[in-house]
Amino acid sequence: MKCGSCHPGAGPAEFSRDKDPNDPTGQAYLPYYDESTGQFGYEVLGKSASDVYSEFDGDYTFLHPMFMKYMNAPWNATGVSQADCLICHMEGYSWFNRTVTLGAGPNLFMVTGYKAFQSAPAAGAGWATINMNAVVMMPGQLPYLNPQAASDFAIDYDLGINSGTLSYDDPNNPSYYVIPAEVIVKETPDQNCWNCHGTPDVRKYGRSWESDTDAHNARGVFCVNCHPAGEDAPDPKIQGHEKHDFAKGTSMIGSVRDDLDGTMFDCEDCHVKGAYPGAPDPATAHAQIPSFHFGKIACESCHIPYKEDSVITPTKEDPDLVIDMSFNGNQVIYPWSSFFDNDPVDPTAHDSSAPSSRWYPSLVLFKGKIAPAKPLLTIWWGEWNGKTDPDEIVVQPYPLWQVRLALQTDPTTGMPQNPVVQGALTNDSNALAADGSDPYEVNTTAEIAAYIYALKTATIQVTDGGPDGSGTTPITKTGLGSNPVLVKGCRIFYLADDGGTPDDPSDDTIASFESELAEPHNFSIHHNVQPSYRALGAGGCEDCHRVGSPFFERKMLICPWDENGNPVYESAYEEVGYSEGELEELTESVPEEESPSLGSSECFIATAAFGSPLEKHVKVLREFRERYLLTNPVGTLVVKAYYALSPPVARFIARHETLRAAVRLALYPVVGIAWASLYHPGATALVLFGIGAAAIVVVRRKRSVS
Amino acid sequence: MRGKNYLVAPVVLGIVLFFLAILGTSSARASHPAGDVTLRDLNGDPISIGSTTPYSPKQTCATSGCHDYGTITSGFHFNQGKDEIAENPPRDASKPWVLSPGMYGKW
Repeated sequence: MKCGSCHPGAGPAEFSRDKDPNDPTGQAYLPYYDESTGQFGYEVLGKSASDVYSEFDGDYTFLHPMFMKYMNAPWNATGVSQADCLICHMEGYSWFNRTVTLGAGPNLFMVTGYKAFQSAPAAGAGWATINMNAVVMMPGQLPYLNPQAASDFAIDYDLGINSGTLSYDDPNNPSYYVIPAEVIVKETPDQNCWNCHGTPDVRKYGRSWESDTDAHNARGVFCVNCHPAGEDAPDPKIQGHEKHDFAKGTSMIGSVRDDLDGTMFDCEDCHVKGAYPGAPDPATAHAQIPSFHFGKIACESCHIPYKEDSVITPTKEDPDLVIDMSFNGNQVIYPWSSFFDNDPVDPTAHDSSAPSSRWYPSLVLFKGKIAPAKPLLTIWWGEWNGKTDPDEIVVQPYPLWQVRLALQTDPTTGMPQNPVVQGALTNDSNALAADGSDPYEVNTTAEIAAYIYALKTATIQVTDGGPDGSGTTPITKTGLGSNPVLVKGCRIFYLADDGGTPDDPSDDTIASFESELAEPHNFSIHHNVQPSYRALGAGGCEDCHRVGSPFFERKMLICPWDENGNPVYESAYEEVGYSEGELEELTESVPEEESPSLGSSECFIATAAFGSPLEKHVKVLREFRERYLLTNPVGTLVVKAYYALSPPVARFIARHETLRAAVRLALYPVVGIAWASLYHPGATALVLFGIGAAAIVVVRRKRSVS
Repeated sequence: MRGKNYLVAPVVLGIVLFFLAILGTSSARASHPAGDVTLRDLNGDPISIGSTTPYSPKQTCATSGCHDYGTITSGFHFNQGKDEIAENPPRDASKPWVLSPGMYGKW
């Protein structure tokens, strides 16, 4: 039911996995519960609740930490969650009220959960009283209503009348409640998005959308301005469809709705092509930056140079960096600050001139450009199929509840009680967990060997608790698998040799190999865009091109702890493919700005005038240069002369808005001829010939007259 | 002096109208074009004054064919990958347990 806190209803919250046998089309799915008949969906199929959870291979289950029972999803206490339109279309919608209602209480959950599902939309809209004394707030859990509370919840539409979110059908003779038209907003307000996206996004990306440093937020840009839906969407895959999809970008993780990748407005759309009127033209600020930068570096790399806490939000916005599931079978989360202070080049150094919360995203290659990312490193146990070929390797993760049982993890202290594991563990971490503690980790050969032994041999026993905890059926399993491996820090660690004594892991040999499966999960960073004066490069080329460069030499975590318990870092230049020699060239001096090679994308004056090397007129001139000038000796000479003379002229033009406009006017005919030459060369030659001939005739006539 | 005083009122009025116009347009998140919407219960019946019956978003918004509930809820936010489940062949051969790209069926 807690899924519904953010899930807006419908789809898998309304219908089960089974098709409705009574549907003539054969396409409709069974609803979870039909209040009119009092039947659950599975009952229509002639099944019992036990039949349903026996169909699943471990999903929809968890191990109750106190009762040590294998709990099944309460299929016999579920209901239907309809699409809650106001979760997006009502300003001030209460995510909290919806969430605690779905947590249920005695008035909603006595028999089944269907009443909670039914009542949640009204609660979220603010049309219900909620006894706050009955709300239970537990760290790490969603708030819920205490089932033991005497009273906790009641629908009261007069609350909506008093707040103005409801009115009457006829003020003089009221019969029914109505939602006033102005309460239903077309565009989803930002806060409604963040009700659900706030927590996961901070964990994935850190602070994402506050007005104190995000340039777009500060200027009143809304989520839906960049992620439009319906008729506002620029892409025909979304535009005009009542199907409620939002335009999206292209993510590095890239698993969700790849078919809609690139349907939103990107930086170039708004700032160069004019999709968002009023978006500042970056031409002036970019005019002095050699344009090959724009072909190699994503806008975000410079415009999100760092991230840090917002002074507006009350909580620390320290993203997750490492999730270690190997130590005890729980998720031990290490935030970014566990491995980095606030200096980009030295993870242990503190920069007193910057906020303590500041952190510097990783830089990785994505779609041919250097782009910022927030990595997430995960450490876990799984069953390896013995293959190393990237196309064949499979490591199936073990369910964490089974890992905890095999390690005999103490639910209170979190310490593994398995004697083999306990004997091998040593505390040698340099990292701190989210709570500031310094837990153990699995890193030495002896520790890995002991864990693998435990996972292969442990007998786990648990009781099938059923959906209500009363079950007593014992479940026994010996060993989680035959080939357990540890996935950690870009490598997979496996048992290479058991030393001849299978029951003694102390003489085992552990080997490892690199695998993509063990690489960090990189989340694209697009929010928290800094204004131009804070971007990399605003302080000159030396922002990046210097020894100790926060761009090329910033550190990225590769492995949380090596065999000695020390974190392993890599510099950004290595990740994006530069050699040490190239790093020296890039950082020991500023590369000569005025010495681009022929064939580069430079077009200084046109770029200064039109604002971007990507602007369509500049592209035409560049294509003309490539086809007609650089293909003959005279043209090449002209280009060389242009490169030698034009950069200072371009810089001057870029600083004077009137001059830029004048140069644009002057260039339009040139661009026109260039375009015609490229796409209609025959006709252009004919026209030019005609003009030339006419000019000659005119000159001769003038001479003869004189 | 007297002539200048005559200008004060129109100038102030102009400034006020200007800001009213700005405020009026800047807060214009388009509201529901079809006007007020009657709350309806699970059976599609209007909810009477004083009732404590939960309203049904499906009946309230989709009744009388106002909105196409099925089309709307086929969007990603509602399905979370349920409509994209692929088991055979798996979406990712190296992660055969990942059935969908969304929260539903992904692990």
